[in-house]
Amino acid sequence: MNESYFFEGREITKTYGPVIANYRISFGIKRKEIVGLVGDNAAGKSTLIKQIMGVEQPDEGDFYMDGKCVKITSPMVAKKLGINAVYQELAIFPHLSVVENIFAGELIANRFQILDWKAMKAKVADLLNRLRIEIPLNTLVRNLSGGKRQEVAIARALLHDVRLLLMDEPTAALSVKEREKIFQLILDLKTIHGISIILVGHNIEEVFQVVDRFIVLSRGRKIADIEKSQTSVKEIVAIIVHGGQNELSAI
Amino acid sequence: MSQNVEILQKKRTRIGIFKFRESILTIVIIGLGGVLSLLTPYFLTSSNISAVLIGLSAEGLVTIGMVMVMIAGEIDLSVGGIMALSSVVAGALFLSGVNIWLSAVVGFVLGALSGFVNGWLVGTRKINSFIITLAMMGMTRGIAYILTQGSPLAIGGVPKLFESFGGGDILGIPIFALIFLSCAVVGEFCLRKVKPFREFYFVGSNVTSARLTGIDVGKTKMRVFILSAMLASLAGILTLSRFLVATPITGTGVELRAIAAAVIGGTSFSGGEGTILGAVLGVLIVNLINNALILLNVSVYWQSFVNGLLLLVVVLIDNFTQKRSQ
Repeated sequence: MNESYFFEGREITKTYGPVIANYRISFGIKRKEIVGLVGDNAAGKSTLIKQIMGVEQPDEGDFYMDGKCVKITSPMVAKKLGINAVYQELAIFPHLSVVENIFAGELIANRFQILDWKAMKAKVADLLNRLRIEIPLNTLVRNLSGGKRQEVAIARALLHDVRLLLMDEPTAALSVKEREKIFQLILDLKTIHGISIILVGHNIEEVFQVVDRFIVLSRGRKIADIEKSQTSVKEIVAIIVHGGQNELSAI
Repeated sequence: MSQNVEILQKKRTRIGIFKFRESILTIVIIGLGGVLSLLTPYFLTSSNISAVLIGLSAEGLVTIGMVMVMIAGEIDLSVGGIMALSSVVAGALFLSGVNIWLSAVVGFVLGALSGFVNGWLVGTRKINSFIITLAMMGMTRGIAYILTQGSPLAIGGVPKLFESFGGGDILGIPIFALIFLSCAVVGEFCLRKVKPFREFYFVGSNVTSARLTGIDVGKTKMRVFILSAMLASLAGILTLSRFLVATPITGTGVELRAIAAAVIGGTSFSGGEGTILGAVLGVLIVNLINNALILLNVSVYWQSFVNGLLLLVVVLIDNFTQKRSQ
């Protein structure tokens, strides 16, 4: 396949009993690229994301990182490969501080299991600073606005070096103003930090502002893969609405 | 960088050991003590203070465990039953000729084992903790009744050292209370600074996220139920040492008093928040009020009503302030 892809999926197929969630989907992601993964409900977007993140494994087909076949058997494996995800349901801990949320599941402790708050705070301060996010570190997350919570969730995914970030509807629960901030953050991740992003979204008009390319799924199949410069919001919506029927004319 | 660090330092000065709620509770306790010492000369006598302290220590130990269980988003109704089980098993073994120390250890281990069963069923089988610990409450107290046939077992002739744990004092402070307070301090430290304890908050705050971030939710829940049972067993053994009588009614209703004290101290019923410090202050307030009722010659039948009213008032204040802050 294309040599400029650093991450690829080849012929990915995943079924749940009689339901074919993904059928022979092949795709690639370039460095510093934002790809919009779009499609109607039950198109298979979340299933594909879950497999890239190692939450589920494909029945057939393989993923490739830098041309090498990789078996992503768990989220831990994905993280080691430099893949991480920001989940739709704002997977956060409302009663705990920003620092604890970002270090959730990997709190730094010495060999007696005593936590090292100083080290964690310093790392989070540095991380938020690099991302240009301004949030007081000891604030409880339940006292933050939806937009700030999403920033915490994104920061958490970037705690370790990430090459590919999966974002499932990162702006679903946010106000218009908050959405713009998150989209700006997403653009910064690409241009300043050199991270590639797969962005799952419903609102094509919004997604259109930040992506470089669209991959359209319909009923488990990939029906379009178009550079943004070659298409328009209208066309993408038309492809989604008409599903596979417009496949040929669209490409 | 400098901005975040600045904010960090500003915040640090405000977050000390005492949070807002705990400061309020402390003021209430000091106020209560002040009023009581004015109303009756008996309150500030060392014998009254040490009677109050020793009286609340068993309940206090159980409350420490209850706070941890509630932080993890669960509930443990079996603590009273486990207290009775450990104390009766130890007493019965001693009466059958076993060394008292060995008897106490066996009682303690059996109690802890009940907690292991609770934790295993809630953590790995994912069964509701209210139901599991309700069953365990019935079974543990049932065993205590079966072993004693319902009548108390007096254990005479135990070594003085064993007696001193429940009945002795150091510089006038009951050893029982010292054990309770040390457990509270160690527990609070662990909840703040020790990873396997800190994870109780994560599991209680959002169990789905906890799983997604790789925390072993099942093991965490198992850990918290074992801890709670160990503290209840310790309370049971120390109660045996205090009264030198093993009775199946030991710890009756303590689970509900512990839950009330925890809630008064700021522990959330839905998990994710709470401190042992707050709960200890909650235990203190409830017991000071009961002591006040006794010293002021109010009929003992009022105790239950006043305790219920106190809980209701605290919950209403919480409800009111939360609505306003939203």
